[in-house]
Amino acid sequence: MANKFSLGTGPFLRASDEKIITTKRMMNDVVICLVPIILFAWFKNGILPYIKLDNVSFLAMVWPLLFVLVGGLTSMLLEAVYFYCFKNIRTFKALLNEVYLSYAVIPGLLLALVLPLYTPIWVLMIGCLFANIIFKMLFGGFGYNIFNPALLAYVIVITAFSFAIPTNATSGTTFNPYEDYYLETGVTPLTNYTMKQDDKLVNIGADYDTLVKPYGSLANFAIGTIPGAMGETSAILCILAFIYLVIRKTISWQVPVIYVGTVFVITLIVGLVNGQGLWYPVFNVLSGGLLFGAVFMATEPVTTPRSPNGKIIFALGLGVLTCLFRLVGSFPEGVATSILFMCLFTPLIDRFAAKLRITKDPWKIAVKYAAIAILFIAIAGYTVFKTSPAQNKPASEQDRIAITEVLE
Amino acid sequence: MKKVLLPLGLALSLIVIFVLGVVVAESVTKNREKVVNDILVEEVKAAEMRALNSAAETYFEDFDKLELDEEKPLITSYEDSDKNKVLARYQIIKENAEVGILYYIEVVGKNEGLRVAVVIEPTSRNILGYKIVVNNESTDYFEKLDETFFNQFVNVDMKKPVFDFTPVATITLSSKAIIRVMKMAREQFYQDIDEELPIPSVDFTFVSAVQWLSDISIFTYTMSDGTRSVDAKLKYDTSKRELSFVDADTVLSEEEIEALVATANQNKPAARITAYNPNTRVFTVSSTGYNGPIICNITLDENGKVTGYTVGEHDHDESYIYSPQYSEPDPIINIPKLIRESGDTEGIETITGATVTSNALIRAANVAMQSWRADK
Repeated sequence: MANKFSLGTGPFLRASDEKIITTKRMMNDVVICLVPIILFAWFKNGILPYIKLDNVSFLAMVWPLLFVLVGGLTSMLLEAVYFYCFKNIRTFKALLNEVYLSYAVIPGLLLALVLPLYTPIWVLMIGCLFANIIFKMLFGGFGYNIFNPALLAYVIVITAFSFAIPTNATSGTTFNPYEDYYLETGVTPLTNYTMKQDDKLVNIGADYDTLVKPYGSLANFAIGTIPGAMGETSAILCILAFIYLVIRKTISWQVPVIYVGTVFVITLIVGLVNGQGLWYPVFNVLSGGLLFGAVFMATEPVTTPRSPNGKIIFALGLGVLTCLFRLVGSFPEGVATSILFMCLFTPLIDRFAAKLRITKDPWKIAVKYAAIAILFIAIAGYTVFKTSPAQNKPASEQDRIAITEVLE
Repeated sequence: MKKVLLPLGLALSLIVIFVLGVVVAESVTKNREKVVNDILVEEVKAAEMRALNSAAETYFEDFDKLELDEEKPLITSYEDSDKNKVLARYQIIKENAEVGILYYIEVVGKNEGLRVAVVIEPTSRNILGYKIVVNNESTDYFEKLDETFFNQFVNVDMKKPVFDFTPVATITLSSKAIIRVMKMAREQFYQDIDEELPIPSVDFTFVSAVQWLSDISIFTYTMSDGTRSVDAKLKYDTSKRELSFVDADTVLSEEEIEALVATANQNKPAARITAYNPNTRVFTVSSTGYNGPIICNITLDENGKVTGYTVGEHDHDESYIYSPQYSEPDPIINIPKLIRESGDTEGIETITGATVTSNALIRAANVAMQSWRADK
């Protein structure tokens, strides 16, 4: 058996590409793609408030940049400490080389880009500790981790340290001061989904005026001038990064395209059932961290399936789960959790997909694919069912009276 | 040495990043709070300006703009409290001319910070109306003030000397605050145009005064200001020989009270009961004659008729009465005798040559009988 399928550590490269595409180049490409996103985040969260408002200090202006810098630097230093203590690397030059080769900077950068802007710095640093040391180095270092370190650290930090992460407008959220100034709403676009009324999620069926109007138009969603974590708001930059990475063969196009496509189709159906227009799926694709997650997280070479058909199954699962978490669950965002959840199944999918590829009997293949399809369709169907107007109609007048009576 | 440097450097740089990060984050958070607060303050200011504009628009349709006028000094303290102040003076401009004035006034009601915009028409000197912009008063309490109370401040002539409104009992503080706003607007207006506040020229004329028997220091003065009759309770201070205001049957402004007391003091009782025994009905009355007070002891029966009248201490010029030129009877002896005999003062005539003293003696009996009747 071991001779048949040896599952080594990623990333895997075609022999023909090996001469030009190296791990080093792949990771450099990711960093290159992150640079415009970081710059845009700096412009949106630092420079724009500095220009538009009085009294914004210089430090507040460069803060987004510093936040990302602290994330990256902490990650590199922490890994250097790890190499020094546990791998007995004792010279500065060798340490630098090791840290560079293990791409220590990437988890820190990604973490800083997905956390709310005004997260306390110690929370970010603890997040880096989780990401680089616990979820990466303790699993064996670069290439051995089973989850995306930044993503797992993000989920841990956002749940464990939720008390320290500011939520109100005065102390700071993902809103920068300028957004506080000109936006009349105090919530991020997707938070509208989690607003409950009479114990029912009614805003699934909210109209354009509630979901998009307060933030301008869908163009603002595409450009990224909407509130949100630093990395995730600009859809255009994410798409450009995707094109660049695909051209450079750093990532394959299947996962992002199928993932986003699945979300689009399911939210289109949900939108149609709720009587919404075409803007509804577009809104769902452009808002939140979907594009950022699809391009940078779901394509991570180490923790995602390697076989082409495995990638398709993986991406479909992501799309179905993201819609389920986002539309039915109680948290506004479903990208991080669905990617982590699907990463759990990566070895399983890989094995399954590999076996299918060598199966000779077409009937067996069809049955197995059909089973997976039925599973995904069932989950998507459940999402559509739970978000249908019949399930989410506001409490009737009589129920409301009953509720007020109980309250009194 | 080199062996220590590397781990030390790593640890130090981590610590430095942490400390610097925390310090910078602290400063950034503070800055953010300040910026957001500034935004909120600006929003409040904008909301206030909207309210002021709408107040102006209520009374001047299609005015062009409100212009802040900072030239003239504003009242910064009123009624000994710097929490009552005129915050701003705006000119209401229409076609490049000032058509109205808007005062933005803050006063203390039950709570601090009641802010009202008062709109004034400068040529007719009328308070056209007002708008409550910021209201910190307890609502259930403030809402007890009804429209009649609020309406009395609309279209008020500031020229009128009597510029007074009635506070509402049980909502005194809030209602007084609104009244204070109007007074402040009026005073600020006259200060701005550099004119004296019109002093109330209330003219009270004396009608009559009756002394109380239950408390002989109190007099009821009946006064008239031409349109109405006011019964005011005044207290006589024997050492200062002055009357002071206690109460009145109608609500009077401070200016009116001043005028009323002044008139009363000009009409001080020429005869005054100084002692009274309710059991024997003996009145001791001090009445001013030609040469000073005469003390008269007057006894009344149950029907108020004079049954006894004797004159006690007096500083009378007896030499005059007993002089050869004087041929008439002595009033000190004769007038009390005549009153005693008729039981009343009606028809008693003064004695020629001693008119003032005769009148004093007749008045003494009148005061006693009047007070007795009033007490009945």
